[in-house]
Amino acid sequence: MVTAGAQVIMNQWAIAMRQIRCNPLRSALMAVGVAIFAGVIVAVTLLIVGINQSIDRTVNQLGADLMLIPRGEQFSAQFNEALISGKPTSFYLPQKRLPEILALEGVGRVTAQTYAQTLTNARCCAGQFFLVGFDQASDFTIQPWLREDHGSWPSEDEDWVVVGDRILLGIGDEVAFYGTSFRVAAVLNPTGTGMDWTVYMPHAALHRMVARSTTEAVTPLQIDREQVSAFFVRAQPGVDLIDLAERLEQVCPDCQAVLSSSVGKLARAQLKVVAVISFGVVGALWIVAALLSGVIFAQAVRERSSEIGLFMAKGAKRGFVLGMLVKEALLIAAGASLGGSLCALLMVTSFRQLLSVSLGIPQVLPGLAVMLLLVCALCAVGTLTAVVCACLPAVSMLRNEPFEAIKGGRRS
Amino acid sequence: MRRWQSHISGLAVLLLGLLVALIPVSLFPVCEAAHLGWVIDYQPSMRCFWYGQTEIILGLCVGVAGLALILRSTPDCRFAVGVALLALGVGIILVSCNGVIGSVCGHVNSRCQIGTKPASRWAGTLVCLTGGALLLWSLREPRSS
Repeated sequence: MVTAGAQVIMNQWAIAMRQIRCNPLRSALMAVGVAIFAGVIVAVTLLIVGINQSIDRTVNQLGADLMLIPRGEQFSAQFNEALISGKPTSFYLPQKRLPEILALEGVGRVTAQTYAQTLTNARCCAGQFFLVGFDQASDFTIQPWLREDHGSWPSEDEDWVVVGDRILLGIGDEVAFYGTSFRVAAVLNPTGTGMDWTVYMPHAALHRMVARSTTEAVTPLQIDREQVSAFFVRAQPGVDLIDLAERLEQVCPDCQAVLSSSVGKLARAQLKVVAVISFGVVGALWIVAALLSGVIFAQAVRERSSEIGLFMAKGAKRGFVLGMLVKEALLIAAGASLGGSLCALLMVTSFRQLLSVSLGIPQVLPGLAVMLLLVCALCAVGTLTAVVCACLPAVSMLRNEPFEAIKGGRRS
Repeated sequence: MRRWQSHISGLAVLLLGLLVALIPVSLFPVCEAAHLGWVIDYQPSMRCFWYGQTEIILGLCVGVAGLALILRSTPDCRFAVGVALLALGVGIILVSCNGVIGSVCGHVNSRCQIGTKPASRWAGTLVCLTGGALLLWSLREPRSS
């Protein structure tokens, strides 16, 4: 048996549904405004959260506590881009500092990497590739990411490479850089960092490629055997990293120490402008959607003032009438928020790789659980905004006496 | 449906058709499409080129359907255009999913894979929705015997 209270609520829903069906243009206008706002806020928030998570992932997966690169602001920016997005770069510092760095108190392990970039349109595929020479014996940054099926390492006399997950090559494939043919010996697991877009080769193979490039390549590659690009340092447990960074810079005066935590800070600083502009747009849209809902609903309430007055004259309480209007706004706003959010989610998911390439960030979307949580929370925000703004004019109308309301809000 | 409503919906379908045709040409151009043509001697068999041509033809068909809606605004015409748009939309989606022809090459990060194909799928979905809406609309209208 349906109770009287339930009957009233059912009546309110039924009246709200009827009103939506009777005024399709008005309902559609409000729904479109809310859907656009919900869609944009979901897309922007997903991207910002996803990019932040990607930067965190990169920092956590570096394997090194700090890195030594040539002194200069431009080098730290280039280094940062190379780590996060695998963007090719090349800068060099003398390798002769390695023994002094290793001898320093608090230093656990050190490995050197040398950077080079391919010419455009290498034989395997279009685009520039980031080539990294690594020291096979001391490396601790690449080997933890190797896929299980790589088998044993070839000897240093052979020309072989290890490729990131997003380089479209498999084990045993041949690829040529600067006129030297390399065999793919291993593929890395997906890291969600710039490593996915990088080609690694042993230092010996890199220097053989440099030597051959003078005769085999269109443009010779020039890297001195005594040069490397960066030292990756893993500190001993419990060591103060800032103090260690200062001591490393004293030992290597032409180097600057980059803490792995500052890689994230620098990347976030570069993205800050984009984030501020995006949230500015979302804020402006929020205001527009709120105003649109308010104006459309105010017009609707004004049109229906006689009907509302009659309801009240027949004994309907103000709470009942308000509940009816809230439910109408809720139905439109909830449906539009959900539709807009799902469309934005599908749109961002479809173009995630394009966004990833355009923004230079390996992963632009957060995990599934975070995505669903964000979509639910932002749907609620969109719905609440629209309902509050829509019901404000209704509250002021309900302050009138039934007689005034029947006369269309005009006082006699 | 009034005549002006039919004209507006026809114009919308025409623009949708142009959008479908422009995706592989200028919005998300397929690889090397600009260097290939119907009349050059050497015609490399780039799959994305043929994919682009297929999408252009399907887009033009959608545009023609829009023109038909503008020129002849009868319920029967709207019904026929609705059915045609549904079929064309499904065709556009199938082509972009490698369902009908080979579609594009295997480079998973190429522009055609990450831009053109998702955009075509969205456009195909829009064409299907428009076709469905026209079909429902025409079924609700009274037919002249």
